[in-house]
Amino acid sequence: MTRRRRNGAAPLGALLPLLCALAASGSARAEESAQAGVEASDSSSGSRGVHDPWEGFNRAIFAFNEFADHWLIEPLATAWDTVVPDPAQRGIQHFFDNVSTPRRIANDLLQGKPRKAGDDFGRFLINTTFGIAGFFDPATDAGLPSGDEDFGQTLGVWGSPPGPYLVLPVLGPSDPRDTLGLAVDSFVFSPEVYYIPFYVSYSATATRLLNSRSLALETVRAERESAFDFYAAVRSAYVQYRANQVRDRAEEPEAEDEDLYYFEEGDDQEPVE
Amino acid sequence: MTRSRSSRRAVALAALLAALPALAEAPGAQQMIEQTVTQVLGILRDPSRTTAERRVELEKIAHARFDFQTMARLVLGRDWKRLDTTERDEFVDQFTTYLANDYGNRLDRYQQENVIVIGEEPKPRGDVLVKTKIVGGENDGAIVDYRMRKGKDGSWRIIDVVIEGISLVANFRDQFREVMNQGGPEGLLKRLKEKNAAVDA
Repeated sequence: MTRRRRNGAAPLGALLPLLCALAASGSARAEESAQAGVEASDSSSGSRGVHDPWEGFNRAIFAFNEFADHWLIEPLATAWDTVVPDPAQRGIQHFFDNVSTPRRIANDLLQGKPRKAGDDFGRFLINTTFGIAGFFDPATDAGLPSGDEDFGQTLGVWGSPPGPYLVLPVLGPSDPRDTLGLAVDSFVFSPEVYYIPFYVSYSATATRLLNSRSLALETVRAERESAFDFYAAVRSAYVQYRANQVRDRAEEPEAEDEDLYYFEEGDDQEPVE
Repeated sequence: MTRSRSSRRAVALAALLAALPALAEAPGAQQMIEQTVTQVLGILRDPSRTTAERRVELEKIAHARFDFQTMARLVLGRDWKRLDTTERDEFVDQFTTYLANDYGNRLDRYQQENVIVIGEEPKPRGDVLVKTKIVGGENDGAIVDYRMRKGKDGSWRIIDVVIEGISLVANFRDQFREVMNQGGPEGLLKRLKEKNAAVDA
């Protein structure tokens, strides 16, 4: 599990890391939706279309994650939030971000972005020293913004499609490409796991997830509350967010969304009864 | 030859002069967003206003700046056809209320942030994408794009907000399609009304 929150995630983007960490829906009616899902799965909105042939299964896992979040993860994160002050939480997040530098650099290079790799290396040096083992992030203030390349994105850059939407137990929203990416990032590009005892890396992962869940308590509560179908909201956000990351944010023009922004011909006709 | 060139120049100049006041009157898409950002940040940072007052003002801005009519249709996509005329009117009405509420709600959580308008990008059929970046606060560095369309009255209105690549319209479309697959247009309208009633309560 190498997915983590960037320093600068968006309102909805801020939601994603933790979505990845758990995600859940209070109103997931897995069984009813299983049938509806068959119709819904082919629904597409241009380049933002959602391909979800495993919706029945996914909704069941999502409901499980929601359950686990409600009874275990969220209460723990709330306790963490009460005990650990916000600046310390951000420090811990920076620390984990800094530790993941090898993964970032490896993926920068694999995507043919040597400059970005250099930036990430510079960030690592600055934050490890002046940022006191990475707990602070002076590199961002020094004009080296954080990137967040992972192997799922690398595969995307190489031309691999994401495949169908997939909800993983505990880890939340994913797809086959990103699941493979996560495995590669966690085992190949995280050299520290070979040098420290497993119980240390397990507790570190648990701490990281708990900390990022705690940073997002408010956001999740609000998003959950405002959603009409939280499962679909998370799915759409995940699919779009990852596509955007592969495209690399503002650097390349996005695909045109004909179907999203323009009415079909004949739309003005009277509705078919 | 010389005469015609200079007269052509004169015509061009006259056209330019004629266009100037028009430009001044109708702000471009980017200016529109710049104005809105200044306005919104001013409201969010005014300590003399209560949360409730802020929300009322933010909703007012939302009504002026968003083209809710168009958004409502885009959000339903091809499912728009499944609604009859009465249902459509009702949907636009309820969805407008919902979005305006949601806008006020959401913004109220982002008080320590600043926004820079990066620039604008033309899109097909006259649409414009205005790109902004959040500075400071928890969402430092986030890219927020506003898809704008020129209305019949000549003013630019927002038809979508895209946060880090996540389109609000696409997100609602996915959710509403699921809701309609379960309960049809009636089910969707019922859910919307419930949401709006919960806010008023």
